Amino acid sequence: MAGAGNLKSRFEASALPLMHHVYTAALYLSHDRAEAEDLLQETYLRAYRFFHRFREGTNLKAWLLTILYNVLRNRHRHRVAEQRRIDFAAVSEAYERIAASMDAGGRDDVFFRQLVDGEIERALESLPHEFRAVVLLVDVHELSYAEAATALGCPIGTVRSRLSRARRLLQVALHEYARQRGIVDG
Amino acid sequence: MDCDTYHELIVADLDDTLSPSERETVRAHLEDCTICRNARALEAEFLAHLRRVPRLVETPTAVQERLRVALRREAMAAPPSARPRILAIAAAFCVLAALAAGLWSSPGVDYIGSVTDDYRLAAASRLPLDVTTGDPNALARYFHTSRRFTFPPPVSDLRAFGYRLVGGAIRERRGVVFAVIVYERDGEIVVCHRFHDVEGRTRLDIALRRYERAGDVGTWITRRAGVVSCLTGRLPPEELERLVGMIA
Repeated sequence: MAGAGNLKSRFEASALPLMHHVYTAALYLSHDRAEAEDLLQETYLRAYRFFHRFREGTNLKAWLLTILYNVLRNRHRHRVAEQRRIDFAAVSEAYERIAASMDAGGRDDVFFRQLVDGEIERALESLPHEFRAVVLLVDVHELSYAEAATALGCPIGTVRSRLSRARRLLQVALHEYARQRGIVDG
Repeated sequence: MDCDTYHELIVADLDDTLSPSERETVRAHLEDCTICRNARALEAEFLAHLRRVPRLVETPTAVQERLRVALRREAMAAPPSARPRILAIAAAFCVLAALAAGLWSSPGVDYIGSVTDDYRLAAASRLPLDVTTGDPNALARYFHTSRRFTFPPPVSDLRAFGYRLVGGAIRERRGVVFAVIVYERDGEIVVCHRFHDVEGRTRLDIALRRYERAGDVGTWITRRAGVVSCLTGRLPPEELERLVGMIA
């Protein structure tokens, strides 16, 4: 049983320090503190049970986040898919106008520098689920595209296109906050 | 390729995930396209900003503690690396025992899965209980008045041994109604199942008992007065034996 004890110690030493990452992801994905706590516990119990399958030398955080995403998907598979239509043509237009201001005003004039961090978090929370998840995995938790694709159960090309759209959506949303606060002109 | 597709490549380039040939394609396009050049400048600024926020949210201390307790219980139920080996040994015992008893196809084997599953759930604090009570008589009354049983499921009082009764539930699997009783002592969980469907299967019981003694959660199965009791817990064998004597 020495091997089992060893594995348990390794799990505690390597997986528990990543708890805040899993909790943060659970919180952003679920929008609900109680559910996030539940998701965290279920993810860690599953991870513990299957820790012997974890391949040493690979990204443990990515592995835990993959389990989290699977737990979430299993829980919500009976839920009606999020029905939010986004007019990406309009988003692209708005984004191009914002990008053009880089040309006119230069880098010192970038509007999001004047926003507080909470506004970026709020914009992130407002994203549809599939875009929020990919930003969270790649930008917040710094997973590679391949790791994010594994976690989300989609091809790498989908990760790439969702990230591109998500970042444009975020900047358009933030520009709108900036406009409302009078930081930029309408 | 349109500028939307180039935007995907620009974002991927800033994330350093493009192949050399893709990078070259993007570079060539940027020389000719003001929109994408602006977009790249904006994305580079935004990425640096985005990676600062949102920050990690710290897990509340109470949640951390609850998780550690759940993991400790899970560890007591079965350490992770031991699982495949234990399952292999248990499966081998099961096959040998069943073959020796000539009961390979007996439906009675099914309840082993049920009781060990319930033990694992209880050990992880995830077994739903119908009744939460520390009073064995109150739980017995709940079972008796439910009218779900064709026999009165007994609830042994183990408080003299330092156990606390947590509660109980009525469950049904494959047409068999179980009374489930959960005890706890210093984080150690003991789950007792009682049901009434096995007739004339003494040999099967002996085979299962041998199998489960080598199993991963120390399940014991006994039969007395027509009631089959399964006791599951990660306790020293001598203590399990004593409890079996108490509850059988």
